[in-house]
Amino acid sequence: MNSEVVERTFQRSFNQLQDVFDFTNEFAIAHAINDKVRYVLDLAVEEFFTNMVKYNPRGRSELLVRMVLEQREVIVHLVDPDSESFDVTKERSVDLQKSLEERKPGGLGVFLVQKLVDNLHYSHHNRVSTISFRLPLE
Amino acid sequence: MFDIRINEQGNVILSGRLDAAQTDRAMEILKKVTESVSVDFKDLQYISSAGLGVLLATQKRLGQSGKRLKLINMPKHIRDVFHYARFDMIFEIE
Repeated sequence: MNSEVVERTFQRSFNQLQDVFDFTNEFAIAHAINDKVRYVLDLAVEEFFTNMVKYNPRGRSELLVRMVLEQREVIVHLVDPDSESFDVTKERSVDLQKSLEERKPGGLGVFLVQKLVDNLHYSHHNRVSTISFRLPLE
Repeated sequence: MFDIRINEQGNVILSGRLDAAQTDRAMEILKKVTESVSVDFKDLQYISSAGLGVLLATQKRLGQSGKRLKLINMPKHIRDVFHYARFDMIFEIE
């Protein structure tokens, strides 16, 4: 099975977001990924990357983003090598029926990604958190 | 590249990509909005939950004085995200 793997590490900072998007953009252009898939790719990577930065700012290692093109899907991994467990596959307590006054944005990002990606997976071993998901290209 | 401006009619024009690194800039402009206005999404390519949060905060603030945002010219892929978040129940989307 042919597959292509690219990966890059990023400092644990919101200021790195543009570099992260440059990385996903290079990958999207190289593999002619359509705008719809690219939107979900960027959204999912941003939500998880910013969560790792926001909730674990003192982690000692850089964050890794890896993308694998396999057959006709993209497999994405985000790795925080120094973190507590935070299972992003758990159901989020986002009450979508609440009124404007009651709505809060917290947890919305992970909730959205859960709706938009396939095979969302989380593992945590020896302080290493790994988030993985798949995006069909068609 | 993200840009936000208020045009001569007082409506808000968004363009580019509204991600978590751009929310301070977006909020800085949206704080100037005190009346019911339209927010034009025609040239907005991308918005994440951080951007949704900025719009939600603005809608809440305006709602306290009976005002609101109307979102116009929203691309389908962004409209889908608003639908998943049920933000289409909170905002008028034209």
